[in-house]
Amino acid sequence: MNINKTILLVEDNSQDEKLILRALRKVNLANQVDVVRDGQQALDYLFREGEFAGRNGDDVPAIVLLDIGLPRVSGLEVLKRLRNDPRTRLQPVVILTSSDEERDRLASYEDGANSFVRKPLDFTEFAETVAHLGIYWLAVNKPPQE
Amino acid sequence: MKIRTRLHIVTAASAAMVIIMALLVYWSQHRLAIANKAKNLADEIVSSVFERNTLRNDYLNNDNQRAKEQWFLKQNQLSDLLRSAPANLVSISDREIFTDIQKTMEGSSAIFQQILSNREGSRGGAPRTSGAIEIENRLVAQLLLKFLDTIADARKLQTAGNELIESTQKTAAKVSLAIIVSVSLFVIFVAWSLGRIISKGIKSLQLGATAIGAGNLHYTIPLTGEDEFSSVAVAFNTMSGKLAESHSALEQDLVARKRAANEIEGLNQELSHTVAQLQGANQELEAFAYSVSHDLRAPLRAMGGFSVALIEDFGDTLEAEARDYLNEIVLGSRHMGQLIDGLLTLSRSTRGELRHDRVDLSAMADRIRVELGKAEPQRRVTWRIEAGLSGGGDARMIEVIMRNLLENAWKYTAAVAEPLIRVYSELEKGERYYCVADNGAGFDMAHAEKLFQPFQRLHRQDEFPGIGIGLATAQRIVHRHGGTIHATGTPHKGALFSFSLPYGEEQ
Repeated sequence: MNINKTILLVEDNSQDEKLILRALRKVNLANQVDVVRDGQQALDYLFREGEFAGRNGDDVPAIVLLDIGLPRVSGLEVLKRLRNDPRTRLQPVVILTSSDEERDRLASYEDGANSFVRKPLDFTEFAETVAHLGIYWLAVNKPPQE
Repeated sequence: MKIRTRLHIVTAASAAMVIIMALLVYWSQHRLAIANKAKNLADEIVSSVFERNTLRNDYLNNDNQRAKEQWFLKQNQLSDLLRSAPANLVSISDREIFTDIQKTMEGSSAIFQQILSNREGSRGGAPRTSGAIEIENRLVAQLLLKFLDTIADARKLQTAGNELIESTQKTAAKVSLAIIVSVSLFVIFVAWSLGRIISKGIKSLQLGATAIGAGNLHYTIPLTGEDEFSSVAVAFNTMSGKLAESHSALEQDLVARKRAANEIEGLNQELSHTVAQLQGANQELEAFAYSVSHDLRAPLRAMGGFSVALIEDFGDTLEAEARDYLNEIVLGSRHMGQLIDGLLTLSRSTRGELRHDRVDLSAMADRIRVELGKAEPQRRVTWRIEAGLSGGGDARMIEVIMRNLLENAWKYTAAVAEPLIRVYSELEKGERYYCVADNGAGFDMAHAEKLFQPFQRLHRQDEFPGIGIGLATAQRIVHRHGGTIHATGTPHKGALFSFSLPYGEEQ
């Protein structure tokens, strides 16, 4: 699979990051992944601020894989900020988290998440889930702006 | 002196007055009767004397023998009258008059006898001599004098009678007046003094009652003496003394009660404080269990995930033994993952509000049956699910119970030739129990209490895999619904689990 689209992975756990990247690599999507490690970095990346001020303006991620429990700015806060900004109002965001709390799930949807995926405990399942997510959002789903 | 005595005296004085008045009336009536009798006697004497005089004249002038006899008859009558009279006469002067009349009567009788004997002497046809006539005339004159004397005496008697009447009336009036006045004065005095005593006594009692009513239980009513008020005051003082005693006893009791109540309140506060602490600790513990099991997931995923990656990516270059060890790590990680999932479920089953749902347990059991069948389509299991099983409670939690019990039944009938799983309900002591029965491996009742403890298992992993958290979770959920869960079993014959849901039945 060779698609010219980007995935933004917001993940503070480096082991999860590695497993996710490996799973995406298995389906040949690893080259399209940009990784940031906390909420503030994610916002800077998406709004081209701070260390990402010089990032290419046309490069809008096809999907943001967003964890909830993040340092500095939480995943739900990031989601809110994205939805409140006209530039990122329609940005597809998938919440990918260890939490299976109903509270978190409802809050995510209320704040405009496009999808809520719980990281499966079983690593084989986890790898499959990540792979499916990558394929779906990059190959199957039609984004708001082409 | 007692008031009662005083009242008795007044009554006695009034009674005495009445008696004296009656006696007075009786006495005056008596005197008046005597006086009237004397008057009547005088009248009779006067009329008899006049009659006799007339008879005498008749005899003397006409020599009427009948008149002579009648004169004697009258004379006898008068004598009788006078003889019977003295008893009725009271005063000495009356008696003297009477004696005079009697004497005069006797005198006049003697004179008349003389006249008669004179006349008898001259009888025989011979005319009466002038001497005889002379003597007779003189005697008649004497008789006339006696007649006049008698009349005068009778008049005196009449006057004496009148005087007696008058004096009697006067005496009666004076005595009555004196009695009435003195008794009235006495009664007034007694009534006044009684009124004083009573009003004083009542005032003292009133003061005492007011003082005691106001709470001064040590007040003593200052009444001494022998009357009833003093007795009442003594009784009153005794009563207030007793009241003061019991009041102080009550006060002490009250103080003791207050102290006890304070102690109880203190203990209650302590208790609620402890309960709050316990609740806090419990919540903390649950939160801790949740976050621990939550946070354990990521490193576990890493352990298992990288082991799998190692096998997949470098399996060719690893020795068989190294691959086997990695497989053990993967298996261990999986098992630990299941344990964590079980812990999470257990922790969740004790958190959050219970919902009130109507649950169709038959449909729920059937749904789980289909799922189990899909997971292991090669197995042939006979299911008997009673239709219309309905219960109340939190539907998601009841599903956890049913899933645990049915998965167990499914798992432990794996080695049975004709597996049978039954779902039904029965009434026990008026309470509805939902039952899941199987004919599987069963268990020894000696270990029954271990069944519901977390991570306690009655079977080895290689016999029946599992983590030993399902029944503990089921029991917690049943308990949260106010019910009980029982397990009965026989090794190699089967097991029966039954539970009640009173919380749902209340609705």
